[in-house]
Amino acid sequence: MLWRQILRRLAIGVPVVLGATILNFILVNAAPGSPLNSLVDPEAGPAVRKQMAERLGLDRPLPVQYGSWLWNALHGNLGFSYENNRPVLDNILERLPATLLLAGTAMVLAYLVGIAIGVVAALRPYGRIDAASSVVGVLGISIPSFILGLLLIYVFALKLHILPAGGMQTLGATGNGGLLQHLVLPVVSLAIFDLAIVTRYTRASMLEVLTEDFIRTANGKGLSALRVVVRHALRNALTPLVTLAGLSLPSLFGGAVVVEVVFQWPGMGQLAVNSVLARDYPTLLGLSLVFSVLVVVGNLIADICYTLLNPKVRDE
Amino acid sequence: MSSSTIETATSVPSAPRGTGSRSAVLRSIVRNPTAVFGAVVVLVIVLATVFAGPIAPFSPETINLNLAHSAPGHGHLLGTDPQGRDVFSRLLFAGRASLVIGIGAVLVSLVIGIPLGALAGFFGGWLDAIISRVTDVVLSFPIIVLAVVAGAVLGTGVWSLILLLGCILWTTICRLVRSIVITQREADYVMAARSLGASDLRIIVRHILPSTFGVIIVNAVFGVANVILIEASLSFLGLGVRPPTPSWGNMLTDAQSLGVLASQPWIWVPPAAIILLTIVSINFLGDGLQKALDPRLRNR
Repeated sequence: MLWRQILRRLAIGVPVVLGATILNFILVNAAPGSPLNSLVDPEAGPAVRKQMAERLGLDRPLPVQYGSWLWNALHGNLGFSYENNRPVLDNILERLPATLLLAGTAMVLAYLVGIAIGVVAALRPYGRIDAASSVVGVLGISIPSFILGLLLIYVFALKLHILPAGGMQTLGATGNGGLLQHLVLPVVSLAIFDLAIVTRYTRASMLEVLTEDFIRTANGKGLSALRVVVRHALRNALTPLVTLAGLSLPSLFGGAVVVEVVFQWPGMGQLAVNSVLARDYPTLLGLSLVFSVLVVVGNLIADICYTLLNPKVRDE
Repeated sequence: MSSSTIETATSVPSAPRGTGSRSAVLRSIVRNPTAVFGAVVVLVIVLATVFAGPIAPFSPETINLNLAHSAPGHGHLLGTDPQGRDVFSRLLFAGRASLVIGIGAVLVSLVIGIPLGALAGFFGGWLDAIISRVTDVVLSFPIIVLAVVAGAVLGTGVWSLILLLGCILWTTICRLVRSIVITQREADYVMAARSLGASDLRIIVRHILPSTFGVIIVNAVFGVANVILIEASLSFLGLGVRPPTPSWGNMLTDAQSLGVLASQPWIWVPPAAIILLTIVSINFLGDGLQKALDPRLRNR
């Protein structure tokens, strides 16, 4: 059953990755102005231009160009950046850890805190904590991450001087260079959206589970309230959260793009924005491939976890 | 059987709207303080941007470098930005871009999403498979990344942003409509309509789609808030509405400079506050509508 689940997800995943790269390939090639404009000296004659076009393969029909891009990509070659002439894959891999660290920490924070608030809110529905959590919920989905980021920089970096305003490490510092301090504000900015969603979801899911017969049975057996909530209710309420986590990956990476720019976090999102401004198309295509692969792999992991956690699906 | 009897007969077993009477819905919204707050704020903001021309004391695009970075005062209610433009006037006109893009992109997403969702749900089979796979592809891609790439290509006017965001965001509505249509297509009233000779198109448009209106309206309201958020983020990054045309997002671009952020709050606090206020209000309104349109939630 697990294998069927994995195969099913791959059957979706491959078209997702292909579709995303084809879409971006078309978009990039529909862009006004040829990349040759910036690569070839405008004084140079048409012969030089033609030579450059041939060298980059830009003179061939689009489907052929895509085919060869894909073939090379499958062999780990994403071409060369127009910006710094280095292999695109190297540029991306250099920045991948920073993005994974930021997004991963934000996700862990969002789920831990979100579940905690959601459970507490559900235990006393329509009470004070519940009311406060629903205000936080609306604010969380309403505040753009970059505005929260600016506010946090203003308060904690510029006024209170207790946390750095941006970057990943203190210049010239030893060890991890204050990585943890640099991580706090970007992670909070990025996590707030998912945190709000998880809180809402956990609350609703817990309220539903708490009315089930097996909870009444557990209470009737005289189990402690804590045990009933943690062992019986929580487990059932949270299994669908795994799927939610998979589905929220695209918005998490999208949010990372914005947060990385606000905090000058040297990740793939910052690279994406810089590549757009520089019209560095090979890098953009490479990034779209890596981002879509990350989303597909993330969903695959979520599916596997879901199957393992859910006996009904697992033993079918 | 005359056509008029078919007409009346097909409309007899009416679709379960699931929303109750219009007055019950209205009553539920009016009794909900956050929904009323949301509606009032949204109304004020819409009016302020519609009448930005007569209200604004200055032109939003006139540059006056002698007055750059001035604190509020001297006739400039909220001071001036780094180009010496009046922040208050820009704030009013910027609302136009944000609201037009928010509403426009959602309309585009409805125009694409409703028919595709209805077709996929009603006919199933290979049509459903294709539409669902396309939805999966679009949904699995980071919206901002796609918008960043597409924005670089399609240009960044208000109209191209509307098209772009509409073409990315139709998937949610498509999935919702599809799931509702699937639950309804075997319902008794659909069978009744079919046995009386109603065409597929007529069954979908006249009988099934009305039962999706509540969900669509609620989703569209949340959608507007979401688009305003995405547009603000893109414009902030310099990839959305481009200056000199003001938008709430691009008014915040200046705050990327720590100097402005630290010592000239009049430049960034007003647009930040109005973005937050607008999105919160629209979400409050959406929440209120959702509760009002769902009889199970209405009396809580």
